[in-house]
Amino acid sequence: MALRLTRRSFLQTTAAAGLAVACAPAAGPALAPKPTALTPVKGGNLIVATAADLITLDPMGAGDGPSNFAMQFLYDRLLIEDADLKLQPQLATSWEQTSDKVYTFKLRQGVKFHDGTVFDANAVKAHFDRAIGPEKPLASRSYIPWLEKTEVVDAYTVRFTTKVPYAFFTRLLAGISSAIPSPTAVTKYGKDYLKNPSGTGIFKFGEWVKDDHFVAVRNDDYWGGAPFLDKVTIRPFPDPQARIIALQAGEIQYTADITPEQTETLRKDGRVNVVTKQGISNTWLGMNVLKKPFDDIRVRQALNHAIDKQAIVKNIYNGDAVALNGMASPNQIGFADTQGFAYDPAKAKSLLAAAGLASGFTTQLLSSTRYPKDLELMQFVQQQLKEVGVTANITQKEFAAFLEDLRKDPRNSPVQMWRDGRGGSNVADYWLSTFGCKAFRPAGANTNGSCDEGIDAIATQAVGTVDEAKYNELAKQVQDRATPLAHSVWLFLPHNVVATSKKLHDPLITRTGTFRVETKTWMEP
Amino acid sequence: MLIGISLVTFGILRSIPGDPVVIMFPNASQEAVERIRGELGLNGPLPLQYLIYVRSAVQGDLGTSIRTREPVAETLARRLRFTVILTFLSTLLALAIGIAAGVAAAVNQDTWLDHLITFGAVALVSLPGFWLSLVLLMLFAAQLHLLPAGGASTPQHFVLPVVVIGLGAAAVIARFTRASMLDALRQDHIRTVRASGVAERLVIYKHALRNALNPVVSVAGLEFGFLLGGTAIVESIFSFPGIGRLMVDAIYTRDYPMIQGGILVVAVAVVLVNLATDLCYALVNPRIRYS
Repeated sequence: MALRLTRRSFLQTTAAAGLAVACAPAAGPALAPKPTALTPVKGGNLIVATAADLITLDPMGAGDGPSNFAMQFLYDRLLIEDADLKLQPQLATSWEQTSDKVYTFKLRQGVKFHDGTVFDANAVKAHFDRAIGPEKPLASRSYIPWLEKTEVVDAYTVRFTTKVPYAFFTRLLAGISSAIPSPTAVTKYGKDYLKNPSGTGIFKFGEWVKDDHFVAVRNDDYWGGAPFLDKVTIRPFPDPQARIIALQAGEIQYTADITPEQTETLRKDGRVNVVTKQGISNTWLGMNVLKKPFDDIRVRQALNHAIDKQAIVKNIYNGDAVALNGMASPNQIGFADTQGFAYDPAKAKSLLAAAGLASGFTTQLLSSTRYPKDLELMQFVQQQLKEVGVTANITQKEFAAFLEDLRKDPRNSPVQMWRDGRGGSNVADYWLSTFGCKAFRPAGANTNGSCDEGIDAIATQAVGTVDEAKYNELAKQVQDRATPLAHSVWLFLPHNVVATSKKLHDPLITRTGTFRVETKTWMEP
Repeated sequence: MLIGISLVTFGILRSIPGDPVVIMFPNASQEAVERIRGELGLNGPLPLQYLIYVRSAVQGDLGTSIRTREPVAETLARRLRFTVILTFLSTLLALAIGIAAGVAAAVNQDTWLDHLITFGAVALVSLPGFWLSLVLLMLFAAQLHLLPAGGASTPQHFVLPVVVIGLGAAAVIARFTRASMLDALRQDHIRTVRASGVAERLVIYKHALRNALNPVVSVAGLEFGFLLGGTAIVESIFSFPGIGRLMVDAIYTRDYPMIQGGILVVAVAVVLVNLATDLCYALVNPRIRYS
């Protein structure tokens, strides 16, 4: 039917529209439609933005964030962390630990890989044999220290034996590199497996146009029921501001890595949900405790008292971070709040005076250009240190050059103070790998040169302690002893901030800010 | 020349701090780092590494990316295609706007139009590309929903990057065209043509502009060559999978084979563009003949 627009009808229509617009703010709530319960609908292409393109779709080749993110759609693991980071069965139906080194898993039956291969114990064994076998794929370094062997007990029962007791072995099985690919596809395609990935996940591989997009399409035969979404697309958006614009334009429905300034803007945008979660990557100021004046515990404690962490959180991170009292942060397994170092410049000065540095000292403060707020952070720290008489000269280097400096053995390293930031899922491992006596760089990741054999012994015992309560007690001991030693200036834990379109419903965002799509996730048309 | 470029690139890359394996695995043990370096062929003596690289490059093998494990030639071929299209379209836009604006300014010297064009050209040259990119993105993608925010999968994806790069280059070309046209219009033969009663439109476009175009073609050729490797920021903002962004990422991650291959390919492309520019002189001005 053709519409005829006469001059009169045009004037009437525009007048009515103008009146409606003019009255709308005043009418406001009275005219607003009543909220209705949203009913999930099938269909939709969820488009998510990542900072870079993915590199691999092989779980054993994983390492970078975008690849890990893409693989969650294609693969399942034996276990998976829920929103509270508790382990839940996924391809396993149950598991038990029959000795301190032996784990037996019952597997889900009736599951098929996307290529039609039946999922069974042989598929699990093939994957973990590859992890510790001669091929040595990239992810093998996570398994070789721990995994002794994988045995098929029967078609749907598999048994793992670890080399030593390891409290976090089941946690390892919930990682993305423990996602199980089709053994048929891995063998058949070899190096071309990346073009033909096959898992048991809720989405199947669609296409991967390098540098442009990756698409996963709905797996209608998924053992947990078909998902609502038709497909998921991942697109690389390297520029952080462009990611936000794309989200506001409705071109994407999810993005992460949002800066504090962007968070403020997005919170005011009615089209976007902003979700803030505590991460697990702590930020601290490293000090080389083998070098003067940082070899004196009073100096290190003084610097901890000299810096107002709450002010950093409030003024630099707009509240999207939490100040740290000690070496660990709340989401790390075994975290126990310890009494840290209150902001107290007077106490800092007196401690410096007691250490014979009443007139202060001069030091170098190294940071990189990688993190957008780092220069502000360093300048703030510099100002606060100046107030207690310490002159810190800032050097900011490009990230690769910065890493090169930090990889030097602390016994010979010229680096004095630096911005550091790392995390770990559990406190004991984190201590041993980052501050432990056997982890001095370059062999390990200890840049500080800190070494306390007593704490190492407790942490080592904790790593081998499967009993959760006992582990927590040992981890608490580690923190109670390590924090006062002030090997670093413990600063803060930045929040993980993610943003989603309001049209996206029921994604799973874990306690640490990890985003996952589930079968119940759906999108408004 | 290409051997010189490859040698200089290789030397500079290996002398700057940063290790590609450490960047990929910052907290890996030294043993693991050494093992991976060995697998990537980074542990041998530098002269040997260079010779292996040259031998392979001569055979068309530019190596394998350290970061993505993909053949460098494959990645470069894929990404160069986008950058060449982007650069070509941008240069076309720049020539169309730049020549038209330059001629208009010269013909109307010292009038309001001349001042407006000169001011506009200076403003466009001064505007940072990233700023203009973000403003256009906010306007056309976020507010008006007329154009996509990023990617390169449809013709619409090319519009904003072409406009940003093209306008910047147009400003340069406009300034050169104006100066060159003013010079041409003052020539004796133009006075003679005018005196013989030829229509002003023909004087400008047939006689003056043809003579004025040679320096403009040179500038356009240089701009084209520069843009082939110099659009990294715009490519990043528009999530455009070109070679500029690839090179920046490769430098940050010290992906030696990718950087070496990329610079070599861009160098070859610039040489070819310069050759094409020289050939264009004869097209623009028939008095130029190559023996």
